[in-house]
Amino acid sequence: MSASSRYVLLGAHLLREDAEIEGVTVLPAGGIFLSAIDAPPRSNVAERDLIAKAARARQELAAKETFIAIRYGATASSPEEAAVKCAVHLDRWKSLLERRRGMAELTLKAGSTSRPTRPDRASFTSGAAYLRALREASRGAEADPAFMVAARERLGEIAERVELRRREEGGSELAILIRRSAVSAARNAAEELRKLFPAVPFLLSGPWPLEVFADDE
Amino acid sequence: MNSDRDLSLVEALDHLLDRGVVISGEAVISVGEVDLLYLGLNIIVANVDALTRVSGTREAKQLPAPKGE
Repeated sequence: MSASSRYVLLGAHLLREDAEIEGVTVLPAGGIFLSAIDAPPRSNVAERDLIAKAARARQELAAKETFIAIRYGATASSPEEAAVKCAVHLDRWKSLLERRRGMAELTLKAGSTSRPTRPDRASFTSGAAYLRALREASRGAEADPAFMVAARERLGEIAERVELRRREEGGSELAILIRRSAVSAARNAAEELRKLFPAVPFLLSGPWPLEVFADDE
Repeated sequence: MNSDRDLSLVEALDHLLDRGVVISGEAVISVGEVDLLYLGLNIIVANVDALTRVSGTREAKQLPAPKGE
């Protein structure tokens, strides 16, 4: 890495080898390891290619082993600065990584079968009022409650934890903490749900790093 | 690129931009009760949903698929 480039942080890992994949730099930090991608000098973190590169690297890392995801956008100009930026989290992250090793998150996103009416921008003179109306329009667009109950039950039998989350743009979402060895069982459960609820559009995705379950105890 | 690959990249972008631990140097702010993502004290302020929709569905079609697909 040149002196004028910087690191875009991706996640926190228990072992160095957990983060060792092509294109990813591993930075020691307080007994754990941070993964990062190198950003070109004077690049903006909003650049499309950099975002896509980070997304792919994070997927590859998640496929390899459990880690804690760092929200995209955090950068550091040196390994020392990266460790300093994360310093307040490191002890808790190490403990969490030890307890949740071998686990991953899955996400089940279910759409509403009834689509809310979108407000007409031309009817609003204030941008803030339009944004509030957009938000209001998304309320009540949750997925079929019977589907969500069934999904929660079926996946709950396999998972360590299941948490219901509300999506701002409508629909409903389950965050699922699961042993990595049980991911295929969760996919099978999703296929059963698809047969039971053919009208409900949903997507089960993952494995993802610890995201929703990275902040709780 | 098929729709499954598009969907995979959109999902990956959604998780990258909207999930994970927020550390110092970043902030999630709200304007008009809509959450916005302020990236690393840089110049972009982007609505997460708009960014994933636009970057994910239009521009992702020009990008190679993630490994393992």
